[in-house]
Amino acid sequence: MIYSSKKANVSLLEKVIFIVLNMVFFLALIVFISRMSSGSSNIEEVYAKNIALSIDAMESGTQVNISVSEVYSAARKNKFSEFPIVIQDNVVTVKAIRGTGYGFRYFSNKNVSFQIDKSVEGQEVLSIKVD
Amino acid sequence: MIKLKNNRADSKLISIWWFAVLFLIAGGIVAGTLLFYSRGIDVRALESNVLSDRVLNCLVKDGYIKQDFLENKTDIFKECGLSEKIINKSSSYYLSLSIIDLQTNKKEIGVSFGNMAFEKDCKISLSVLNAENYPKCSDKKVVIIDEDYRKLELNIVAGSNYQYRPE
Repeated sequence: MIYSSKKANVSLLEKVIFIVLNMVFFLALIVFISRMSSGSSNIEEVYAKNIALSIDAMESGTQVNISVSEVYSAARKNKFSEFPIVIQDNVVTVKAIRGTGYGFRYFSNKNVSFQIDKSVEGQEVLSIKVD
Repeated sequence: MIKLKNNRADSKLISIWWFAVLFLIAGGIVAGTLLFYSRGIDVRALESNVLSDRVLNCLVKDGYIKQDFLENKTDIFKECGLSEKIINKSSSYYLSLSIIDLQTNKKEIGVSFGNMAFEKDCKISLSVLNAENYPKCSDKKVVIIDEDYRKLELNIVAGSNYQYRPE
C-alpha cells in the first residue's frame, strides 16, 4: 500500500512538471512574438518612414505635429539617452536603442526644421516645418 | 511488474517526443515571425503617389498648367522642391511627364527623370498584381487647359523602388 502511494506521488510530480514545462514553453513563445511586434526596431522603422513621407508630402510654409512618445518611451526603456530623432541631409534617422538606428531618405529639397516638445514626459511631440 | 515498467518508459518516450514536436513548432513560429518582421514595411506605393501628387500640385493650379512648363522653361526640380540628386542619381525613383493636346492628339511634351529602366517596369507593375521586386508606381491622368484654353491631358507616372539600406 505504501509502495503504491509513493508511485502515485511520483506520477503526480511528473505530471505537474510536464504541465509547468509546457506552460513555460508557451509563455516564452508568446513573450517572443509580442516583443517582436512591439520591438524597438519596429518602432524605429515605423516612425522613420512616417516622418520621411510626411516631409515629402508637405507644402512650403506648412507645419506638421507628430506624436513621438512611443519612440521616447522605447528609448527610455532601453536606457538610451541620446537624441532619438535626427533629420539631416535628406535622411530621417530614428534611434530607440543603441546601434545605427533606422534611416529613411526623403526626396524633398526644401528646408526642413524640426523641434521636439518634451514639456510633458510621455507626451513628446515632433514639430516639422517646411520653408 | 514488467508491464508496469514498460508503461513508465512509454510515457517518458512520449514526453520526449512531445517536447521535440513542440520545439519543432516553436522553431517554425520563430522563423516565420523573424521573416515577417525582417521584411520591413513597404511604403514604395505611398512614396510614388506622394511624388506624383507633388508634381501635379506644383504644375497645375486651378486646372491651368503653368505656361513656363509648356514652353520648356521650367526646372521641375526647383519648381516642385525635389532633390535632383536623389531622384536622378539614387536610381530608386522614376518620374515621367507627358502632355497631349486632346484636339489634335499631338504630344506636346514628354520628359522623364530618374531610373529609365523603371519605364517598362512600371508598366509591368501597374498591370500585374504580384510584381513584388518591381518598383511600385503611380499613374495619373488629368485633363487641364493652357492659357489659350486648349484642352490637354497631363500624364504623370512616378515610380519608387527605394528600400532601406543601412547608411
